[in-house]
Amino acid sequence: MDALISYLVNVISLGGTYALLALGLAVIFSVLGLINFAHGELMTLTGYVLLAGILTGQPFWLAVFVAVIAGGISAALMEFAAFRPVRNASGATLLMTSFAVSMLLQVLFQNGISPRGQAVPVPTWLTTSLSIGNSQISKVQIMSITVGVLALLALKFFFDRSYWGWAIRAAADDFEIVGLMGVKASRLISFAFLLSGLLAGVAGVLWVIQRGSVDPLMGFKPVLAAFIVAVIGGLGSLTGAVAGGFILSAIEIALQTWLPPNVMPYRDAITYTIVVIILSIFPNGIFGKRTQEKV
Amino acid sequence: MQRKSGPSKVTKMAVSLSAIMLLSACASGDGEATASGEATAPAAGAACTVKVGVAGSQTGGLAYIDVPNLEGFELWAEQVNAAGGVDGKFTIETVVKDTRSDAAQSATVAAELVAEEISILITPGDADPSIAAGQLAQDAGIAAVSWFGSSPILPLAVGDHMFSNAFGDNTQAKVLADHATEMGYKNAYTLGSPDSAYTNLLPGYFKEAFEANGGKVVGEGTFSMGQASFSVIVDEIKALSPAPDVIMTPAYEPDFPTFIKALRGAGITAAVLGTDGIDSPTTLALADIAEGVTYTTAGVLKNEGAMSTFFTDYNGKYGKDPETIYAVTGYELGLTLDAVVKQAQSCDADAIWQAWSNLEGAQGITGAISYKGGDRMAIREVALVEIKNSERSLVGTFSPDPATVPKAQL
Amino acid sequence: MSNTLLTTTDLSISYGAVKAVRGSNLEVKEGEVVALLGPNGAGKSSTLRAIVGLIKSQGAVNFAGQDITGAPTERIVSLGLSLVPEGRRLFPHLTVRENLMLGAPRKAKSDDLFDDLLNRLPILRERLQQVSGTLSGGEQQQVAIARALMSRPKLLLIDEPSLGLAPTIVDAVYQLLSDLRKTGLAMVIVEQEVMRVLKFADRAYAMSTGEIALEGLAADLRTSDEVKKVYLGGAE
Repeated sequence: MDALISYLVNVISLGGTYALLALGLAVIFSVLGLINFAHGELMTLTGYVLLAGILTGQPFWLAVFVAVIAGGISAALMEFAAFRPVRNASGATLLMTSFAVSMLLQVLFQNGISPRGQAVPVPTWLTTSLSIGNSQISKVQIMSITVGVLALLALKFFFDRSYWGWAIRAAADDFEIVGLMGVKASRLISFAFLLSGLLAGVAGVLWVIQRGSVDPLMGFKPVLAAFIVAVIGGLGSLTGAVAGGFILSAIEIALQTWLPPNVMPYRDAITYTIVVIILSIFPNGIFGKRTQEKV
Repeated sequence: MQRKSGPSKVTKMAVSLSAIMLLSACASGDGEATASGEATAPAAGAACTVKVGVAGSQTGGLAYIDVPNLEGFELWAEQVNAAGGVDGKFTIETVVKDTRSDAAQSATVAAELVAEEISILITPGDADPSIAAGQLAQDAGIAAVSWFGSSPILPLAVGDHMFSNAFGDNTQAKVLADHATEMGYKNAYTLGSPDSAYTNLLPGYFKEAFEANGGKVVGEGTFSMGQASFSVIVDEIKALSPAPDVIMTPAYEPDFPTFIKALRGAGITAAVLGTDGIDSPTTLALADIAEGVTYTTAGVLKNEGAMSTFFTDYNGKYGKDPETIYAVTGYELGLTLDAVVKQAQSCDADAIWQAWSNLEGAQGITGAISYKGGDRMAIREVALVEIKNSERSLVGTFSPDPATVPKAQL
Repeated sequence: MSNTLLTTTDLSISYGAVKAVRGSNLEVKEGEVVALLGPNGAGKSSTLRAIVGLIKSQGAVNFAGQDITGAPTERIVSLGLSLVPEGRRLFPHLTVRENLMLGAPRKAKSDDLFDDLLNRLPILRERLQQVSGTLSGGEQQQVAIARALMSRPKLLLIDEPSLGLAPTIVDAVYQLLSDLRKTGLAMVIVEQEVMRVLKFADRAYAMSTGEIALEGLAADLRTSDEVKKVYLGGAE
């Protein structure tokens, strides 16, 4: 029973972060048809802003708030500076641009800050654990579950009730027709980047608090995981991004928990094999479009 | 705005992208090294220039180790050249190329440097890219030295021209195991990662040495470098019976901070032993959480004693204090080269290789450094450091008897 | 009553080297229903898409006294032009209600219009919370038309309203269009069912390989031998 509880706690806390990241990718994919590989660097940037806030003596919650906002604004600036000039170019050009932005930011972090990781001193009350029943759950995990679930609920409300929420969901279905609804394409794209950046910000803060440090290459692993999550869920499907986040998390944690030690080194390989099996059953992802509309 | 066309297009892009990467990797792998060993050797003792090719990671995941090493080395080169060169006549010329922490890029860069007729090649501070780069130097008959790649399989994998400025991981594992035994620890848990030779092999060396001392390894965990969370591993440690009284891991940042936060957060108080990778301000900045962590490294980075001159000089050149011991080891690689060139009295690659193989008792900052009679890993003292009040505190320095050190095998 | 609402002057559309439309001149007056006929590939859909700015074109487009050549789609829509695209193109993961609300400008007060449309299409009232991808073809066509009306257009462009629908459903769709016509809404209808649209429209243009081959009153064209030969001889 204890094992099951700690399994679920681990799945939900990791899955929530994956879901937020994959949603950030999916929102951009919806409006541009682009997988933004610079998404991870937005997380890294958030981490540095959080660090700066803490080092300059700001209250923790203020530092977190400013860091998340910084993620959103940076994403909007990234769109304006890098993606807008090539918006009408081919998908390959956009993808290359996102790689270029990603590399550029990594080098800026390395040369402008330090190639080494920087410790992020989080408040000590976060580093202890709580006893629930017979199991101990760390406060960092409780926080990441709470923040993850609240952020997902807030997003659900936003996507279901607001005009821009409908517009982004509509863009995921059919971008061209959104323009026909009188929505200005460039504004929708800016808005999507802003939202995506805020999501990267929330995920980045959770990531950094759990890790205790931020380094220039921090964003690579999570963005790769988020990409896999988005593919499992169905590229461009927002529901799929959330579902995929929890599915990948459930697979990874299950393997980490129950795989025999001598097979453990093959864990990632097994994870990806399971992902490939899922994709062979659902070639377009679990919530992906079954048929493509013609152009 | 073009309509998106779903996954198929992205898949195609991804495929062509990886094809491009593959092609460039192959192209770099094919880059034939042109031998430079036959550079006209000056008559013994005549003034010449020692051309040092540096294939280091100025960017990427290994920059944390390669950048400070290069800073230390360049400080040494500047001082030596200001004094007219080694022995007043052998000037040092450094050619630096970025390997971007990537094995394929390391090979490309090494091939370019070898073609420039260098006298010696310096490779990244990790075994995997060093093997890629070192093989080209080996073929060209040029000595290659890793900044601080400590895996003892490195010289075994490459050949007789490959050296490392670091002590072997088997040696530092032996020091940790002896310390654990001396502290009275009986049951150990080790945590490694298959993602690099360093994180993969160190737990095994520790296990061998610790069990030879009569201890017992009660659990062996693995992690993926950069993994999101260590809570599963911590749960696993909590469930162990008997509970380990010591945990040994070669994880370094960002994994080490994540792990120890999760570990202490879950209320596990077992002692933690680490390796040279965690000798960084990030670990010290963990404050209470890292208190008591004990690890092996090349020396204690403190502005006192033999190191204070280095601190002053480093600060004079870079306007900041060195952050890690790797700045010191880079400078020491310079001091080693100094002794080698004095011995060789030549800038010729082969003469330098000969002298390097037979080097005995070069004076470094942290102690003497030798290669003669060893397995081409530096024979140097291992410092054992404990974190006390967020500061490095020396437990002792050790030179384990090579006969008792676990054997390195490919 | 007979002011000109829309004109296209020498409208040409190219896809790479292929010219889809060559110098077409169309005119629609206020309150008028115009049919645009022609076989597949004649350039009908391209013409509609170019008018609302979804694809690039040469020549001039004038709407309600304003030059809208090359204007962005959202501006054209805000001036009172609305397109019901071929194949409906609803947002399948959005509910009927969300599809309709997205049709209205962001800050518009559209409750009255919304109610009015639901009164005309009582079936949709039951389906409001249903995800539109699960509706039948006929229901989807009704939602698509209603969605296009949410921006209060002066001119509605409809691409193939009866495509893929059973005859009884097509009757219902045309009943809706007929109701809308009574409110004074002008329409351009692209339609394969030539006889049905010629009975409905005031005037018609017939396109062939990118050019306007014929134009005239719908009643005249319905009895024209040429139309019968081209559109009824081989078709269906």
